Amino acid sequence: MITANIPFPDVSRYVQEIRSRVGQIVVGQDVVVERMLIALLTSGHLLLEGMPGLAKTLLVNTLAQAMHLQFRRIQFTIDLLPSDILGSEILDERTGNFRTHRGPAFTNLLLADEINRAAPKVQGALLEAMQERKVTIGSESHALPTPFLVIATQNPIEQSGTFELPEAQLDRFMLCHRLGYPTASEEEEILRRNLKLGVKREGSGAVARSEFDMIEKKAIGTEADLIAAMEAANEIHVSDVFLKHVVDIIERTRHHRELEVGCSPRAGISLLKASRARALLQGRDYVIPEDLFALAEDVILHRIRLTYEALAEGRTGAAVLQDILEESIS
Amino acid sequence: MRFLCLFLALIATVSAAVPSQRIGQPLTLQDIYIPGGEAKPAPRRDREPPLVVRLLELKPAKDGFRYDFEIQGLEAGTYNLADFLVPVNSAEPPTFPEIPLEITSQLPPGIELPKVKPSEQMPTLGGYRTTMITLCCVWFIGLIAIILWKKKKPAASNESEAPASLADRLKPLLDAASNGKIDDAGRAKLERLILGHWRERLPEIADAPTSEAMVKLRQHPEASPLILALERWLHARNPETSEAEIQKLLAPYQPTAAAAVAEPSVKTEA
Repeated sequence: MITANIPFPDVSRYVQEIRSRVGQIVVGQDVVVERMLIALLTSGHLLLEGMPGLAKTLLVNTLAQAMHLQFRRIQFTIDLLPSDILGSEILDERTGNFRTHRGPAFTNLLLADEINRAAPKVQGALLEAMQERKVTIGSESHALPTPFLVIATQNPIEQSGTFELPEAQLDRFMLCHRLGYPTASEEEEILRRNLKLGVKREGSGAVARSEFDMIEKKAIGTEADLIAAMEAANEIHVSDVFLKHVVDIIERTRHHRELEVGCSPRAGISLLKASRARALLQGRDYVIPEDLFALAEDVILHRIRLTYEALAEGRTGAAVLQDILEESIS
Repeated sequence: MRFLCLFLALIATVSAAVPSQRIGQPLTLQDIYIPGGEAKPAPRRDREPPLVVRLLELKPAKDGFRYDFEIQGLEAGTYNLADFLVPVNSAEPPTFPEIPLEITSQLPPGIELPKVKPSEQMPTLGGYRTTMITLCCVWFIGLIAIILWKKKKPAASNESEAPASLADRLKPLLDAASNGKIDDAGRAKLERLILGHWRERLPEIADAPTSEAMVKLRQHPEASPLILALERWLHARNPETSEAEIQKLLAPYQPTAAAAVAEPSVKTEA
């Protein structure tokens, strides 16, 4: 990291304070926090794949509080309806007119928990809102608040009773990050912090404190800081050589013999935008190949599909992508 | 001898006179005269009686009656019809004369018998184990052949398209860079080749995933000066790396062009 001459010093300080605040509550998820900030700064959306209990909700909640953003969480189930997310028109008996009831989609940070458990109709409604950043209730269109970031989660196991997101809808997620378990030292730190939580008195009773009770309510910076950070990310320099690198990797996914579906142009755009935001978070004012290779898995892996022959040979998307990246530098 | 001839002649006469029929076929006896009271077929109370007797017609006659019977034999043998008759008036004792008949199991004359299938030569029996072993060997050899063929195929294609060595691939790019005629695609290729070179050269990085390898390369004491300088040259908004510095950093990869490096002419693009 080049630290001698930090570009956008105010933005860098703002981002570091947010990461520090999240780190006080959530142990060892620096990469996820970075991905969430990248999605937020580039107006993308994030899909998190991971086992339950990896502090996904806590992470999003902490980030929302730190950035003074409105946060809502929807648990996707099979019987969820589009109106449960977007809202609906309700007949007001006093006036005899219909009034619009806005659903939980009208927020800044929306956590769509286990998105693959809802029916395709509901998934489609949310993904359309993500794409267009507005929803239509009745005959009236309503713009969603800005910034609007959807962080969806899905469980990589327990696939029975789920509706797998098709490639076209997965493509709308800028990043798909696979959450891993914390390391042994991080696990120990989690346990130590949990031991210190204690009990919270409420009225005449008491309840054990959770990590959610430890989230500091005071926000870091203002909305203007966030806008400044978004503008700074948009000013990060992208060289022509870097564009060639991006095109090279995208092209390789389209012509690889083990891939049936390669990357769309949207993948290249996402790679570029995400690299810019990562460069900003790393304190650089220009992107470098490290940004590209660091983000390739999260940007590309959910957009490619293996051929039947590759699947029959036991190949995985991650292995094929790794081969592509290695071929690009050999 | 004379008695014997008479006896045989009597037997032949009697046997010829005895009505005969095959099992299951109706045998009709007409005008059978039975003196005495009226008779009727004994009722069948079970399946034991070997004959089924039916009275077709009863005609009165002097001191008796004439009967027409229809008989079906169920078992082959010689029977006396009188044994299967009972007086209508149950008070009278049965005093019927002997009426012999014969039920045979012979096929009717002139019947067309099924054709006898000529015996054929039996197929070869046994040897199944040998056959199975042979087939398994053939299958296994085929499998090995397919595997070897599949393995050789990419190798052959690789040989035909065998990439040149790193030095060979770097040389034209370095020459172009020295002459200031390298375009963006060439610069991108040059950077990728150098990254790949360092990745392969450092064993602690070679096996790491590409994303981790890039981070480690930028921190490696030997590789980082060149890579960071390359980054500044190729990607920075305002490159701080001088042309001479780039030429100096690239020189170790261009032994044949070392002399040419003395006069650098790489153009940096803002």
